[in-house]
Amino acid sequence: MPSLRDGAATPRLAGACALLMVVVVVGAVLAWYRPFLVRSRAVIAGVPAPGALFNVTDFRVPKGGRACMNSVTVTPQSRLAAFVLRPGEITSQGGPPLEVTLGAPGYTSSATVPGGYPGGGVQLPITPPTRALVATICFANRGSGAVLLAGTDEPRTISRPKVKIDGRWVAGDIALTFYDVGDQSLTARLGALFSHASNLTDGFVPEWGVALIALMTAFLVPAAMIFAFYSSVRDDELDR
Amino acid sequence: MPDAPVTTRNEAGTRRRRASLRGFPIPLALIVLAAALQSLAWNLAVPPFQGPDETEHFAYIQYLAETGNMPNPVSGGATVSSEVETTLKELNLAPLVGNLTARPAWTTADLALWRSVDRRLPPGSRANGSGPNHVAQNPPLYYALMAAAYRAVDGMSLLTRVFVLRLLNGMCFLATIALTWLLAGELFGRVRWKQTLAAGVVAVQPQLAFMSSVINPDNLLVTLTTGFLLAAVRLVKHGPSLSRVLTTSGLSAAAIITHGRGLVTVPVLCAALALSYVRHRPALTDMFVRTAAALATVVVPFAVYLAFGRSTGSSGSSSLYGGQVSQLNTGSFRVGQFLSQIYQFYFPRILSMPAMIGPPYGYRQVFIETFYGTFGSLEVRFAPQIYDTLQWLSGLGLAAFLTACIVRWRTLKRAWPTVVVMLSLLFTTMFFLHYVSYRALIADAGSDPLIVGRYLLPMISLFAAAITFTVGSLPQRIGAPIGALILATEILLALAGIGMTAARFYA
Repeated sequence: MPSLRDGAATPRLAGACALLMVVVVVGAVLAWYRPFLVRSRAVIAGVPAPGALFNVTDFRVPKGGRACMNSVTVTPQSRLAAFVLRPGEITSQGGPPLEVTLGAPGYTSSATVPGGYPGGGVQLPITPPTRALVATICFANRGSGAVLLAGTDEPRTISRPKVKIDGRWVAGDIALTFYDVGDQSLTARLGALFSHASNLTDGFVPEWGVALIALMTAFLVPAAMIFAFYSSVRDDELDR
Repeated sequence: MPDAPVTTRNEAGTRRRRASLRGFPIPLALIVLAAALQSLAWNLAVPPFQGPDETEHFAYIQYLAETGNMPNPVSGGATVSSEVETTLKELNLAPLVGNLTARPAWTTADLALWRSVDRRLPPGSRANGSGPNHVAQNPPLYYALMAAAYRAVDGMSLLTRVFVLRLLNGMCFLATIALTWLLAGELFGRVRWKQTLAAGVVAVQPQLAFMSSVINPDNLLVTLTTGFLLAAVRLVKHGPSLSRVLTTSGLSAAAIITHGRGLVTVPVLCAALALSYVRHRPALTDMFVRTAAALATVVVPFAVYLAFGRSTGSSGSSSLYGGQVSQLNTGSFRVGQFLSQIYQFYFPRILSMPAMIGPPYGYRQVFIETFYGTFGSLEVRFAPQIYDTLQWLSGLGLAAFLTACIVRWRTLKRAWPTVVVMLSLLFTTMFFLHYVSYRALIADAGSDPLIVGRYLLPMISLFAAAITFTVGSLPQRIGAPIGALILATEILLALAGIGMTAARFYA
């Protein structure tokens, strides 16, 4: 049966193809990848409990009440605690003051959201621990009205932490994210990325192994593909 | 001696060719190396259980490995084992699925907490994921192979077991690339650059590379379908020898007992057998023997699956593919509505047509967005302008392909049995996917069209062959640089996909 074959190569074509690939890859890396890699962005230190995907649930903390969420991981980069709150009742005075305390054996940090806010997202400065640890965060309502903390009770977004309000367990989580202060680029955070990825293999691939694989992928994948195409076109040229 | 340099060059080329033919061709070895690295990088970039339905696929494997039984699609104590459930919860892997604001519990403190909880799990915590598990409707071949591997590494922690099982899925990816190389050799002759282009297109296809790093039977299905297509092409090209018939039908059988979508190989097998008989005219007795052999190869494993391996369907009774086949044939089927649905998948609605069932979902979502690359659980996506560019380039490529088909009509006509086999896989798959999507939309009141681009991946070798045929139809001095451009573009997409996904989960 006839094949779909046609003629073979022309001289110097292999080098031209390889050069073209190098130019396209390097050009796109500079034009497309570089902005993505060097752009400063918020540094997420951890997300103990993400927000809802579809329906936000409000956790009501009555005046003088206290909502605590356990099993919250805090890291040395956790310098801002981000959550969403709003007053339980619409008044001209705004929301009540809210004291936020983080505690674990050998670690405690406290900060207060002043009263009078209309509601929305807040990033509260906290003192981070010297090493990553699992803590409990408490939101104590120091005002005269109730406060609502946004969270989720969707089964698919419920996380490890558990919430107690005034000593009673409630279903769902208060959405909470920790950030570092200031922004950083991805390239500046590569070490953290590698560490996180390594931990999710239970250390089977050590951090340096992740770094090595990342480096090899970034450089060897294009190089191997370019050389494969180069050598195949060259072999066809030489066979002619 | 003016001819000396030419002679030396030819000898060098022949030596090089002989060397590569004795072992692994160097371009293929390099492509496989690039693919292996990508698969490994994807494995690290995607946290455990973040691939499409990965938790359920792993649960199937684990239950089969731990108990020797298949889980139930509709009943049982729990979808996943206590061990998996604990890990999903302790490491925040469950809320991570599809939620861009979530991150896994990634610190050493989280890991220590997970280990301490995991250590305290009671005996039997790995073996209680009996169902309901919706992927338990899948046939057992992939899960049985993975269960064997699971047994080999069951002393490792859960996270490590998932990592290792994912590596084995990566092996399917590498095999698919090698099979595409061989298919290109059958189609285009031993023209190295064309084989390299075809295998390279597969190796740096971002969606396939991503899928290769997660636990999913699609990986084995892609490999088996690619191997099946190669065997079918060889069958019609070289004639229906018993070994070729058995290889083709054996691969079809394996695809059928890997996934319901493997059924698309059956009509192609029938077409390939018929074409090989028409083309090579074997003796009547040989024809009967080989047809019987093919039939037995497909029917026997399928019958074994039906008799022993199938799981209990939604009706509560033991049924084909967990009741999916019978579900597909229940309810109303209106030919006009079905054809209108297909039309509106590709083209804007004509006013006289009934409205499309379900959400606005068409070729852009399936052939572009989720075929070229949508990662994680469909939440990690390229920027819209990337998809726009890919759509434009795909349209251009399709026009070029059709032009090449017209220009090289005689070549295609001479190779018509091969062309028919390839087209039969294309049309059978597309019909099957449209039919399944239509039935699903009718069954669930139009909420989920069901099909996504990764369902096209079993045809990835056809995609690569079409590109190679189109580019190879041009004069070499133009075709090879265009091939180089295509590969360079895919490399960029592939690496961007890994980077974006790693940033989404770990930054």
